Formats: sequence, structure tokens, C-alpha cells
Amino acid sequence: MHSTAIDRRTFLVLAAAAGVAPQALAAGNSAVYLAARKRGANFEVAVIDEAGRDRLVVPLETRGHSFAVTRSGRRAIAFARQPGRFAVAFDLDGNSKPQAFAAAADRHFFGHGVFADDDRLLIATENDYEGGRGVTGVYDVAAGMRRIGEFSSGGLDPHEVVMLPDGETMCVANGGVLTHPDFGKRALNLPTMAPTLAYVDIRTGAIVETVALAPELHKLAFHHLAVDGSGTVWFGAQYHGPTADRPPLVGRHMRGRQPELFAGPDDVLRALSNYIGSVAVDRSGTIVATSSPVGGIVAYWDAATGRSLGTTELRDSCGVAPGTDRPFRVTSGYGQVVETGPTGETIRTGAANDAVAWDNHLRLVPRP
Amino acid sequence: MRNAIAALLLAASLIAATGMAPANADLHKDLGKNLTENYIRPATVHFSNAAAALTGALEFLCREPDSKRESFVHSRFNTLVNSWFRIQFLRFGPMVEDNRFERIFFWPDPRGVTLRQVQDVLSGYDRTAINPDQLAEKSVALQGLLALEYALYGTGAEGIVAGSPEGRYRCAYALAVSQRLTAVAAELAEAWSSDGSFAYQFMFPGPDNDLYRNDEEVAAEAIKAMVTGLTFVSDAIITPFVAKEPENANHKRAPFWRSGLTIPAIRNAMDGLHSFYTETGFAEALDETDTWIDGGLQLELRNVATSLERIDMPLEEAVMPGPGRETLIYVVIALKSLHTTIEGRLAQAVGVAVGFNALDGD
Repeated sequence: MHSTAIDRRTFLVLAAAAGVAPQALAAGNSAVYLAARKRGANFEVAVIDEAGRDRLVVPLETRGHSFAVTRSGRRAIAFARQPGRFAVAFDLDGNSKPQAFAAAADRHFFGHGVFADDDRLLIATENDYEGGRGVTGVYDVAAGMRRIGEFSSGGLDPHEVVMLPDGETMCVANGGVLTHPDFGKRALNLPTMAPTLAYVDIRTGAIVETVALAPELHKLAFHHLAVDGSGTVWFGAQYHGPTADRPPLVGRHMRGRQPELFAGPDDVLRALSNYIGSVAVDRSGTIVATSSPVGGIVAYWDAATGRSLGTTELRDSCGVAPGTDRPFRVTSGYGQVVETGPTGETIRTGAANDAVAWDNHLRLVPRP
Repeated sequence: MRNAIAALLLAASLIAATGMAPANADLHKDLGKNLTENYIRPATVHFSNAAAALTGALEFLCREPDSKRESFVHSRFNTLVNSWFRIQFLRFGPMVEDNRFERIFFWPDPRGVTLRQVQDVLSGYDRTAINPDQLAEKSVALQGLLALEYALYGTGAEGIVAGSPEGRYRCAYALAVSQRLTAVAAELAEAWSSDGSFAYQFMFPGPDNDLYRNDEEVAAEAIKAMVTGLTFVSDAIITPFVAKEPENANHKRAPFWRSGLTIPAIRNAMDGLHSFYTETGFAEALDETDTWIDGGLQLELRNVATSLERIDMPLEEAVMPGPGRETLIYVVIALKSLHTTIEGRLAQAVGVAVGFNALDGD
């Protein structure tokens, strides 16, 4: 009942906006970026080119979050943000009509997903909120995104999921927070929350490795992930304990090893304000960027050593992806799209548009 | 001259780049000090005293149970719950250390953890549950106001006055919970006292203060506390039991329905927020063009208070279609409006506006 109603609303929004897609310019083979945003009172997904121009706009019924993108870079799935229940499959060149689908009954999306098995499967992080457990929903792409099953995510609050270079193992960041959509995103289990990183074999659903931090860091929720050039998983965390604690928020994990945390200099750690909103690795695979919209800062780390490399100050900066002219491209809730890197020097990409609030994530879509 | 123009242009471009007007330095002067001395400190002391008073009354009742002593315990419990709701929105610093909020008030609890665990404790005889030190090591759901409410008002509570073995054990558990609450409340009051290190940091922001570097950070904390408190009352307390559709309304989904304290608790929460807002002094510091913000907030807060006073029927009746339900729905709408105004207009007017992602990120 609930899901049908939301589903119908999504279809109506998409139908009403049928005029948007034909205006899209084919992006050809150059790289494009994907991001959710709020424009005026409307929520939408934007495909933007390297020069920062809109190539395609897909309307959403409410706030979007992140994306799963096919290996060809031709199709993507936009997910509703937590505790949303819709997802929209769309063609980046606007050649076909966007297609919406809803989460299963008693499940909602957490906003992230990946394609697997040569793009035959879509995997999405989801909340089994009545059962009080985290799952990853498995969808058959050829069957029109039919949900064919689910795996345990190995913890509560599975947020971002990334595929490892082997194409067979995914890593899920389980924030460990129990939530129920009746209470929005409110944490219902702060005293007992237990975040983990879980590696899942996508062929079997088996959890092949689980990583947890020391018990005193049980309120440090793994949320965002990126894989560096060596296949190491980098994570950005959000701290649910007292502000004064200021634990390290960034770290990395190599399969079979202990996780490593990197605090960086005190002023950087303080500026990150116990909150990482997004993690990205540059095109060379050697620099990691972690954004904190709360602190209005992006911090950079050397992927080889974990050394702090510098910061960029940008108010409400959150979306971060590999850049075109600089190591990273960063978006903000105040309409800014900039290119920047460890030196902190910033160049603007296109005109800032304060009617637009760029949402949490920015994705680079390479086009082979 | 050229330098002066360059400086002006630079200032203008900085404002454009950050989208934020420079905050009026006087706006927040002594904000943390005023809030601590005029609201937070007395309110946390009151809560702490109320907990100690309840513990005293319970010792008396458990030793020689009778209905007069039980009434006295109930009236002390009433005072404690109401004093809690006047500080529940101070969800930063000492309140979040050591899970103090959840230890005092494990809510929301959609999975019914408190009821299940307390019934489990009361169904047998667990020596460790009636020892406050050992109780402290158990689930936080067993240590708070809602666990205590069930012990005092839930099924089987009549055994306390009857003095049956179950009743004596139940009273001993209630006493242990009250002792735990007294200890946690004392820690809160201590942290906000003139000797408390947290209070000092909140009162005296500065470049060497690790927690609050300047007055704006204190102002931002105050705004966030009010917004969080308003959302908690509307989304975590009222909405779940009132429900969108009347057929889904269920007064038993409200905290403190057993003791009849739900509506008084909400009144105290709103009254506390109103007093806290008054003590921020934001109203006096607003530019003339922004004084409407304060006018709007005051009007809405008064309307909410007056409306809540009108809910004088039992909660079971108040959630059913009729004047009670209409009032509760109005209160939810008014709280959302207050939330929007404080988080948006007020925050901007006092120079601590927060961005789209920072405000509500994932």
C-alpha cells in the first residue's frame, strides 16, 4: 500500500517532466558527473559535463542521495536518501524514459548501491526495519529491476557499498545505528550501536570478512567508502558520541589486516567536526578526499601513508569526486562547483548558482 | 584610499563567497554564561533534587508500604518527570556523555525494549537488579524513568502497597532505579555547576577553548538544541501515538501514559524551550527588520501552551477524533513551524545559518 502510493507519485513526477529529457545534449564519450540536488523547491538528479553544464535533468519526488552506475557509464540508478523508498533508473544520454521502482515492502533504501556481475545485478543497501537488520537487496536488471533476493549486510544501517577490483567482493559500511522510518533517522540504539565493515561475496551472499573498531569507538559509524588504486578500502565515519571526544574519522582497511585510523593534525580533525559526508579517490588512485559539510572543509590524505596532505575550505562542501583540472571536484549546498586539491587552491567550474543546493554526493562517470 | 576600497571589495567578496553576513559581535556576548546561569544550571539542579527527593520517598515506601506513602512517591515521580522534560532538549555535552540521555529516558522505543526487559526483571528475583551499582551495568532501558514508571504504575504495581513478596521486590527495584537516576542527575548538575568543566567551556568560549572557539559556536549549539528538542517532541513523542489516521492512534504508544503524565510532560518540554529561548536574548539583539521573527516565535509558543492547557481529558480520549486530537495535530504543525523558523530565519538573523548538507546529512 505504502510502496504503491510512493511509486505512483514517482511515476507522476517523471511523467510530468517528460519535456526535460529531449533537451539533453548527448554527452558523447567525455566524462560526466552525477549528483542529486535541490533546485528552488524541486529535487532532481543532474548529469553535468566537465564544464559544469547540465546535460540531463531527472526530477525526483523528494531528496535523492547517491548512484549506482553501469561499467559502460551509460545507465545509472538514483536512490532516494534514507529513509526513502524510491529509485530511478535512467539513461545518462536521455535516450530512454527514466524508470522508477520502489523498495520492497518493509524495506527502505539507504541511498547507495552498485552494479555487479557484469551489470546484470543491482545491489542496494536497505533497512529491514521491522526485523531490525541491515540487508542488501539484489535486483535483476534484465527483468526490469525485479528484486530477486537479499543478503545480510553484516550489521545495522548499511550505508555505502563499493565493489572491490576483483568484481566479486563488495564492501559494505554498516553504520551500526538502529533506525525505524516512523522515527526518521533518529538513532534508537546509541548505547549499543556496533558499526562494521563487511565484505560480502556477491556470488553467494556469504560474509567473508567483518571489521570492527575497538569497543571504545563503538559510536564511530562507518558511512562512506572509496577504493584506492591499490584496492584498499578507505572509510569516512560519523561520530555519535560527545563532541569533545573527537576520534579519528578517516581510515583504511586492507583485507585480512587490522583497520588503520588517521587523525591528521588537531586543527584538521577539529574542523572535520566529527562528521564525514563523502569519500573519494582521485584519478591517480593515490589521494583520498574526505568532506565535512558541518565543518565546511575537505581534507586530503596520502593513500600510501595516511598522511594529511592539506585541506580546502568551502562552506557546506559535501559532494566530492575525481576532478578534471585538479585532483578533485567538490560541490556545495550553496551552489558551488569547484576543482581543488591538497593545496587548497580552488578554481570555479561554471558559474555558482545559488538557486541550486548540491546534495551529499558527486559521482564521476568515466566514459570508455 | 585605494587600499580602503580594496579592503571593502575584499570584504564584499568574502561575504559573497561564504553567503554569510558577519555576525554582530554583541549579539552573542555572554550567551553561554547567561544560558548556564539563568536556565541550564537551575533546571539541572531542580532535576537532580527531584530525583533525590523521589529516592527518599521510595525508601520510606519500601520500608513500610502504605497508600499514603505511595501517593507521596507518585507526586515525587510527577515532579521528576516534569523537571526532566524541562531539560531533555539540552542534548549536548554532559547529556550525551556516558549515554546519560538514554539512561534517563530510553525513548523512542518502538520495539518495546523497556517493557520486555522490566517485565523480565519483575517476573523473577534478580538480586543484581535491585543493587544500583549492578543495575548500572545492565541495559540502559532498565535504569530510566520509563522503567520506573512501569514499576510504580504497571501491571502488578498494587503489590507494592499490599507488601507482598513480589511487591517488596518490585519496590526494591523501583528504589534502585531511582538511585541510579539520582546518580546520573547529580552528574549532570555537577557538569553544569560552577565547578563543572563543561559549563566553563560553554560559558567562556575562546581561541584556547577546545570545544567552543567563539560566541557563534555557542549560539549555534543553542539553536541546534532548540531545533532538536522541538523535533523530538513532535516526531518522537506526539506523532507516534496520535498517528496520521485516527484509526492508527494509540495512547499506549505515548511515553508516560500509565502515570497520566504525557500531556504535562509535553507542556513542560515546551515551557522549558520557551524559557531557554527567552534567556538566549536573541529577541533583544535582532535587527529591527528581523524583530518579526521573535514576534512570530512568541505568538506560536504562547498558542502551543494555551492549546496544551485545553487538553484536560484522559489521553485515551484525546487521541480519538474530537477537540483533543485536533489540538494535538495543531501542536505538531505549530512545532514544525517553530522548527522551520528557528532553524532558518532565526539562525540566519543571528549569523549561525547552517548549509543544506550540514543541516541534515547522511
